Amino acid sequence: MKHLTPQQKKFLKIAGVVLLILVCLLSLVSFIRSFKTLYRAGELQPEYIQDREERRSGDSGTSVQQTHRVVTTIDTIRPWMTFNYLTVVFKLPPLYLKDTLAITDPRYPNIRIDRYIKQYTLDPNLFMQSVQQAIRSYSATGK
Amino acid sequence: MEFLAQSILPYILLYKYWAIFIITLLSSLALPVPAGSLLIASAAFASQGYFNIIILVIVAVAANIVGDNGLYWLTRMYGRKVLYRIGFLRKIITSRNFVLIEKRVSTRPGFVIFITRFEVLATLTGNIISGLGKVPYRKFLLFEALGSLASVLFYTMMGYFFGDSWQAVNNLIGNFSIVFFLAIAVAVALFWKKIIANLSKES
Repeated sequence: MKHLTPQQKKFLKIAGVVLLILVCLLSLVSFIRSFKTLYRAGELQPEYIQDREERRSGDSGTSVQQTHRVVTTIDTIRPWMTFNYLTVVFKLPPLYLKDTLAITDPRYPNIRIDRYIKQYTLDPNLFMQSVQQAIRSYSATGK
Repeated sequence: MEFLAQSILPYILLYKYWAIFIITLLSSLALPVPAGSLLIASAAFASQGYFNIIILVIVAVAANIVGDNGLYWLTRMYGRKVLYRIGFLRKIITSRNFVLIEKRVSTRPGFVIFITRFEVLATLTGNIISGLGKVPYRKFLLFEALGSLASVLFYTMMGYFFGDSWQAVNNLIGNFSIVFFLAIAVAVALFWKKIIANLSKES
């Protein structure tokens, strides 16, 4: 910067401000686009159990809680979740998953699913499916 | 988002309020942790019944207050000594413009402290300038606590009411903050001379 003439410095400053304005405008456009997309997809409206159940009719994996609360579906179960989280969210009995999936780990229910799979060298897809199946059958029969 | 889900959210599920407290505290102590996203996600878990939303808000506000006050006192007591040892930082903090900004924040700190609570980098800058400028502690604590409460309520309500759309809402808030802070940067760049002239007049 020391070797630049005052005119060059001024030019650089103006170029910097123009660049900043352009980046700002581009981000604004991107923000508006993503807002529109999400709005159209209905993602920006608070969802209530009744609405969600109507929309996903036929999905037996909803956990019905208090009426103002959102629901989690079985499809949204991820390996980073814990057994405790699933037990709370799907309103399962505390030892249901342990008994159904024959889990012997003493850390149950405070253990991540993916850690459990890794530790006991289980097939990830197969185990995730059996977790989903267990919750599905509880939701269907209540047992 | 995948980073958040893979590396931070499992700790939230495992250690609950302790994890929220520690992660929020680290974020207010200058560690690059996405505290806003974390609060939105935790509030979404609260909406599913995994957390109590009131305890969640109290824990997050407490963590912010502890972290911000810690940084304020650190910079107030040792800030100048440390910054004077680092060449380019010494230049910045002894520059006329920085002194003017510091003076402005020290005399009328309320709005600046309150509004900077909504963004991590702004919070850090606000805490450091307040500490260096020796803003009266009671004033700092009052506006810091109010700002923290407002920002925590903002993020948790987003997560709580949008529930499992929290990832979409979080991305949107992220995009909006980029636009907002770029717009502020543009305004400051455009009116820099005027701002400095006004500050000189005031002082």
